[in-house]
Amino acid sequence: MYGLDAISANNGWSIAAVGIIIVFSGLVILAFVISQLHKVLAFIENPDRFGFLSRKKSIDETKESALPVLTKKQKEPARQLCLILDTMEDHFPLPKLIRMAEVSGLDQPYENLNNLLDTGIIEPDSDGFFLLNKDRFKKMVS
Amino acid sequence: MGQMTGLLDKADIFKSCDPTIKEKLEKIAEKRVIYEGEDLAIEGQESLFFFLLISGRIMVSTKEGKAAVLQNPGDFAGFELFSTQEKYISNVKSIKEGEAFFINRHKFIEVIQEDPLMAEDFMKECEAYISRTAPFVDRLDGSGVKSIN
Repeated sequence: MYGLDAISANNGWSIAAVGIIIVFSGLVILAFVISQLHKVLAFIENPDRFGFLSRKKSIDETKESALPVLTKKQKEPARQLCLILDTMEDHFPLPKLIRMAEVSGLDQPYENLNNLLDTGIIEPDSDGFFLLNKDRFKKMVS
Repeated sequence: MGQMTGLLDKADIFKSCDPTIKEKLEKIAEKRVIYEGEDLAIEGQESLFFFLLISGRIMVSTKEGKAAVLQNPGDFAGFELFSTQEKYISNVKSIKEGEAFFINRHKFIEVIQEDPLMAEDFMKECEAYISRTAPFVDRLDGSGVKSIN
């Protein structure tokens, strides 16, 4: 038996159809992968732009922008308070900073201290002491 | 509902209190303005009041210089509330003008002791609050006296 009869007798049409479907599906998947490849490459080059990382970053940015900003008048006493901090240890006691600010005659020490706390330039550590956030200080005061 | 009761509803440590107790606490609380730089409590002095913050900012500090800054309505200072020595064991200073309820310690203990179960819950909440806001403060020691490192 030869030709179309042989094909029909041995399920040739079904086999050919399955083969076409497999090949076509493979080509569709390959085309899809190639079409998305630029995103994978972009993610490898710059992961921050994608997914949860970018959302986390935007949350941080929102938090940062929610902090009050120091006015020009508030910046100078903030600098003076930070100069006092230069003479103290990294993890400094807050009462000592207040005492030194009062002793050194800093104008309105409490108001200026509150400005530093409000802006997050001074932050508490987990052990009852406080830290100067140098990055925030540079960003907000310098 | 008065301002005090509203504040007690917000404050974690008082959430387990019975409404009638809250009403009684409102009667013994005295609302006062707290001024910048004002010393509300000095270590070693007789512990007369504890403080429930309405607004402003207060600093609770130890002689070693450890400090916690409290600034949320309902925040609570007076860690030596259950101290048998009846003396402040920390300093409380107002660092931003605002308002606070001053609650007489003896009257408060009288009110809270009316319901021993609630008093126990209150102490647990108080400990949890201290761990959250001032982790450097010690837990209750064996004698039932709070102490600070």
